[in-house]
Amino acid sequence: MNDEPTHDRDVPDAASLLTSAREALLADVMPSLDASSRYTALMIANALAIAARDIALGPDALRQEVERLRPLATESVAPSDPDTVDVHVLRRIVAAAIRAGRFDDAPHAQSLVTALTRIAEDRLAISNPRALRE
Amino acid sequence: MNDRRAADDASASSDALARWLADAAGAKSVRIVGYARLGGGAIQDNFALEVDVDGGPWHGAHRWVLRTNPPSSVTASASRADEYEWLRVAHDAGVLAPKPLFLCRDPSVLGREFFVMERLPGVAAGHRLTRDASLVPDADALVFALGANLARIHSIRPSTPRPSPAGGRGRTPTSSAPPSDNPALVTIATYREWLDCLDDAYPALEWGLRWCERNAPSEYDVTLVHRDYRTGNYLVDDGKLVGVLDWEFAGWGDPREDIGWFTARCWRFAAREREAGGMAAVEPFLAGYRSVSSRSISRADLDYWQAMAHIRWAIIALEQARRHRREPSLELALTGRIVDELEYEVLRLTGSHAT
Repeated sequence: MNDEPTHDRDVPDAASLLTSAREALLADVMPSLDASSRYTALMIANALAIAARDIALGPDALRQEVERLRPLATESVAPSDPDTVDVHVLRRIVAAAIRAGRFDDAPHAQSLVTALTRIAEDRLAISNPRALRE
Repeated sequence: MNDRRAADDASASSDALARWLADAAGAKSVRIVGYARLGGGAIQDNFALEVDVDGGPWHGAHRWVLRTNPPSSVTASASRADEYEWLRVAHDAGVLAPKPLFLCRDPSVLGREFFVMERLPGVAAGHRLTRDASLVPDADALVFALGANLARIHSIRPSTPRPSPAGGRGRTPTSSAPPSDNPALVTIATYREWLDCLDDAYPALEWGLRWCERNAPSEYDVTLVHRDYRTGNYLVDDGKLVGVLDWEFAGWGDPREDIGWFTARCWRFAAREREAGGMAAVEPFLAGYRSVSSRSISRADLDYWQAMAHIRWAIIALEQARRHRREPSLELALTGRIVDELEYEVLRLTGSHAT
């Protein structure tokens, strides 16, 4: 991430703001809420936590996903084609190849499942780290 | 915003509703004493309806539920009329479910189709039932009853003779054509159609579907399936099962689909280690099922249909996330973020035996 512009060094960044907002909500606001508002407050706290982790981890997870999908896409279409780094295009190429049965045999299936599991783990580290197991 | 609009609709049309109810119940008049939105329905709108009925077979005070369509709905959702018919068929077969009372297909009454059913007591909230042991002192007995009740749903087949309801309102739900092929393959084709309606592609879900296609069961039954039979959709009162709710996805299919849905990790709420809906181990649930049905359910069946369950829920969650664009809602937005966990589970269930 060194090639991206950095923000002020003295002022908290976006992820830090969201984390502080979440802590204030849980520590100061939550105790005075009734049961139904508490449910909403928990959803807000969850959304703030996901957003903070997405800011911190999202760009790298997306770059990793591109790197993991590219070899799979290269295997499944004409070799000249997938020079793209557009993750949406890569997802579409790999998805279509899976549906067409191009990953059915054991070695291909194994490398596919390994790559997709890594991608899912990176995304889970953002959306719900507690769901990561083993 | 939707709450307010629905409430305005309700008050503006409460006279029309009272007149319609009086006619449907064969009463001189119906007075609406209470009308309040019930929580929990992300997809359907439910209202607690309290009435005083004057005359006719329903004379007296009643607590009912009015169920209607939301402003928008997901692909999998049937019409209220279909749901009413499935509920009636199941209730007649002895399935524990709210008794359906009246169906209104005339949009001039409330602006949309609705039906009225009896209101059962109890707690449905999954996060409460899976956390608070005092609500379910004997969880094994509860999941046994849930298994037996599910087997009763699965005893209904396309060939089951069905009596015409009183008043000649009998009709066949439009979602009622039984699948002409292996229901697992029909389901996979349907899920691919749904995926193709999304803006992005989902390799993990495609992998799961391809795996399910290649490992599709060669032998199968076709029965009524509920398609949302899970913790959160049944009422527990005094520790006992009183009824299964939310019949909007019902139709013909492979009965094991419901078993995979009920036991899937994504529907275990606070107790992920308890396979039977976060309530108990899977064995007492299957024992209850076997107490009514001779169908045997293997570990491989559970894994297969749990994978299918996570794929289904992932696609519906993606649709709900898209709905957030039109009807901004924190709950719908967060539903989009559970897709990662569902994909991860699909890979876990299918990856260890990759081909």
